Amino acid sequence: MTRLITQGRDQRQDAARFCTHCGVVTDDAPQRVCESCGLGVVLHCARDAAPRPGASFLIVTTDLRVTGASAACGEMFGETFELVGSPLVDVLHGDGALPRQVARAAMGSRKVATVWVRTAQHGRPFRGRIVACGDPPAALIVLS
Amino acid sequence: MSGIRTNAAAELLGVSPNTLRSWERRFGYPTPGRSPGGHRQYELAELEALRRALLETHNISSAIQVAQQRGEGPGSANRLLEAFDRFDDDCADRFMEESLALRSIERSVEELLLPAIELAEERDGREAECEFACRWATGWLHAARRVAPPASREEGVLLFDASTKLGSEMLHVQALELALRRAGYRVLLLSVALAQERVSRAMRALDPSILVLCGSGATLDSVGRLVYSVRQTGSQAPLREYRGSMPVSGMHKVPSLGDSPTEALRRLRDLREQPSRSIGARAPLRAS
Repeated sequence: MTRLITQGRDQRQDAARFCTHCGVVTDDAPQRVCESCGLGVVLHCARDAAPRPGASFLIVTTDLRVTGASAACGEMFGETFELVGSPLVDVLHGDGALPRQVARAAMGSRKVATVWVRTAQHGRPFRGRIVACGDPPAALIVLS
Repeated sequence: MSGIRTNAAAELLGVSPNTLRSWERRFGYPTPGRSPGGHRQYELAELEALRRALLETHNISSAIQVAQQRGEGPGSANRLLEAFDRFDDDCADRFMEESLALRSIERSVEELLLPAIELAEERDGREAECEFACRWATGWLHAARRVAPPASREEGVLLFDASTKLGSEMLHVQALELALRRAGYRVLLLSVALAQERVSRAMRALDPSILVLCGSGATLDSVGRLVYSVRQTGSQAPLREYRGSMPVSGMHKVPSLGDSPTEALRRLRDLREQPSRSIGARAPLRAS
């Protein structure tokens, strides 16, 4: 029992909060909307997998649709608002394990997966780090 | 206009006043009114809708879109549609209960239930949600029918339903039946494809003062057989159609009861006040 409580405390300490638009990470942000840019929702994820400010990342739900994209994604994919609602396969191509890993993260898996992906539009390769985020639960794919 | 000032509105949403104003410029939402002094005044319903949407989405533009589509208060068909999309019958029940606190059953059905079903039907790739919505709505209408008061009028209305599949047209017919029962009419709802002898027994039991053809899917042949069966019993009850159910385009001689239950009730009342005139009726053709 003691061990379980310790783990829970450790998880909370390891969680970071980030803005879905600008990617700014805040340790203590009770508000829902990013104070820095005012254009992103604040979500939490594992601290070691949190995106850096200005990073390119996508938020994908369990039905494998993009529900959020950082401002930096505009350079890779064009207008970010056009990405929202698109199926992931129309945005990123990867190996056969990509949908499974994204769905697993969107369902709350703590495992951090790293995959190689290509943009569907230009075929540019990127390394993608997939991790659970929320709330509401989703997968965060950080592209670098 | 509830008139919430910018600072208070920003605090409600957990953002700065500048952020709230930038959303107005960028997304056109929330849309404040202006006080006589020119200050922004926000509506509480808009702020509440936006606050709820922000908790459920991953970006601001989606949250604003969701808040705009849901609309305000309990009267929105989009909110009921949202419950259907989650396959959440408890939530759908609650939305209807909230609506019944503000308006009658007829208005709740016409302004909330049926529009939500039509919205669900219009979308591609959401067949499961649409079927769930139709089955839930059928159950709701049946439950409402069970608690309708007993018939208090002499007039009987025989509805012939030509609907062939579960969908909004079938629900429109059920909504009409509910409205007629609640208005005190004796009502019987039968399929348009019934055999002649069964129609005769129903005619004898109800002795209707009007026949209504409703639901889409009737053929000229089935309507012809139906009218013939009815006239065989000696009934001179006039025939009406509901929501364009006559399977012909252009002019035909069967008057309409309109497109909604309340309109149908109004036209039935008008009909009652007019001198009786049998539409589509001929002399009884009793077999000798």
